[in-house]
Amino acid sequence: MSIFLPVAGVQTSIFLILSLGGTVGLLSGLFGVGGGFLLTPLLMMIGIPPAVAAASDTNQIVAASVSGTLAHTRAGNVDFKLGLVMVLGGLTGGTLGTSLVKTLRQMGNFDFVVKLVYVLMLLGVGSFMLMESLSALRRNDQQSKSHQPLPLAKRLPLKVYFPVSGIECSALALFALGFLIGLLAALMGVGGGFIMLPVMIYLLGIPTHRAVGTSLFTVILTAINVTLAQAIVNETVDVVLALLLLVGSAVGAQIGARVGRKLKAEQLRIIFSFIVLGVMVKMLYDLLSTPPSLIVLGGGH
Amino acid sequence: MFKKVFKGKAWLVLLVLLLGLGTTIAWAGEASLTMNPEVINVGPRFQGTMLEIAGTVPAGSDIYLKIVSPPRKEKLSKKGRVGFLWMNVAQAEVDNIPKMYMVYSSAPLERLSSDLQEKIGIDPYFTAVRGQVKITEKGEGKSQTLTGEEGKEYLNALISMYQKKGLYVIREDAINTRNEGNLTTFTLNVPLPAEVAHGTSNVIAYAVKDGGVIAESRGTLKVQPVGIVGLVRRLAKMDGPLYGTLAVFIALFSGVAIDFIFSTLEKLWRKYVRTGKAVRPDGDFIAEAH
Repeated sequence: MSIFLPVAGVQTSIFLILSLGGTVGLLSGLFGVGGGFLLTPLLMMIGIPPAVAAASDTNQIVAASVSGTLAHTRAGNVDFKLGLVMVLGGLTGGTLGTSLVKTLRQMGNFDFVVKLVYVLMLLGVGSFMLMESLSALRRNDQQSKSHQPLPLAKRLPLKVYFPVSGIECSALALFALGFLIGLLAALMGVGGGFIMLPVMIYLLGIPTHRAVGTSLFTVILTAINVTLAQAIVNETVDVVLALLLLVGSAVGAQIGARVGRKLKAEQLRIIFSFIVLGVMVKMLYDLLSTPPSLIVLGGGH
Repeated sequence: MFKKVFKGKAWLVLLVLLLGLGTTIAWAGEASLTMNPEVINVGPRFQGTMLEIAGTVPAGSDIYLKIVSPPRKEKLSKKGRVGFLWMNVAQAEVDNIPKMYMVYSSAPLERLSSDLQEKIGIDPYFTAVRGQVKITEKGEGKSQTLTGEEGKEYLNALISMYQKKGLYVIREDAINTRNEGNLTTFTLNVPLPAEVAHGTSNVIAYAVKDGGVIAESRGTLKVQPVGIVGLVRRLAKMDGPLYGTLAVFIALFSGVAIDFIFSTLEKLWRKYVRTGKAVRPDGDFIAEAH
């Protein structure tokens, strides 16, 4: 069964879109990431124009992250207070990052440096998480669940206790970390979920399952912000495409959240590290292999 | 007397009108075209459609027909090697390019002289399109207008994309003709893909004989979004903030609704299945549950 997408201006299979949404939603529920890194290229592969794919993808992330956050909330895995402070920093950093991109682009070779840094960062984060989780699993070490916040994060002013996460930390430090993630995400042209989760687990010492739930909560606000910007500036949000995607992804996120609860924290981190490394390999492949066509329709991530 | 004079003048006016009409009929008889449908409605179930074109031209002439959509802008990006990596190195905007340029004929295009090809905008390389576009390239902090060979790379890539989508077409000998007295009638089926250009496209049929155009006929094809497709497109273009807010609310509502469905299902699952009450052979699980 097919449908004509009004803004994309193409006809596509309803079931294909639903299943793509479902797959990405599963990742959202499991790891607290938006999943745009995977969905945007997949949508482009089935003929959706890049600008519409990127914008509509962000719209469906709103639904998937709301659905996933609610599922995680019932399990007590969302720290709204901590998430809110971080997302405020993230939005400020994202806004600054967007205008910074324009200035940096004029200096030449900006994309080259950014992509290289991103690939190296994914490699570093992915390998570190994999090694750490494997050794924790081998030792069957329950202590590894409770990392401690960075010493600096404790020493800075505006100290607040976050009962859900079980940490005491400076709100200023949280805002600064959120700001850096937002800045980095804007520079890389990605959502930031990949950076948020490791930061919460390793730098703030939040238990893995709670980090996933809280990360997903921060994704809601970021995705709303980007959807509005895309609809106003680029007029590229296809609400019909987003609706189909979000039905799939909101269901996927529910399943992901439930599967995640059954996994040990270390297992969750191992699977996440494989995905981070997989994304890194895919990015590296795209950067190194000769593209099939040098000129393509513009406007994607 | 007055009545007689008036009657005489009325006959004269009628005669002039008839003569005028006769000329139109004669001209239309030389070249005419009809389309079925003339208006295409694009709704949510639209999968493309077949356009039937029929008409007449003076006997013995070749028919060259083109369908051209309104011009618009298209954005492109170009990849290049930076060091050892492939990355986006420039963006370009191609302005004044029709999304659809279809050429059908009853004879090979090579029968047209190059002057005539230029005059009627029909040749194997879409030269008419190439001559009218404006290409602006932005890269490494500078913006420049590309002309001639410089812009060719972008234009070739874009035209090739349109050709793959069935929007830029050249089909020689595709028009069926039949001689009927001093007229040749023709029929043509044009497959229009789902991505057909919206707006009013011009359809022009040229009758060519002895190296020149001896008659031509024009028509228009209207492609319009209707129903939910029309509503969404209009809202997205006209009121971005309202459209964006609606999109966000739909997503929020859907997320909450799907969570509600799942949590309800989960509660029911726990209540009936996990406790084993749902599988009791006496089928009395509803009473048990209450």
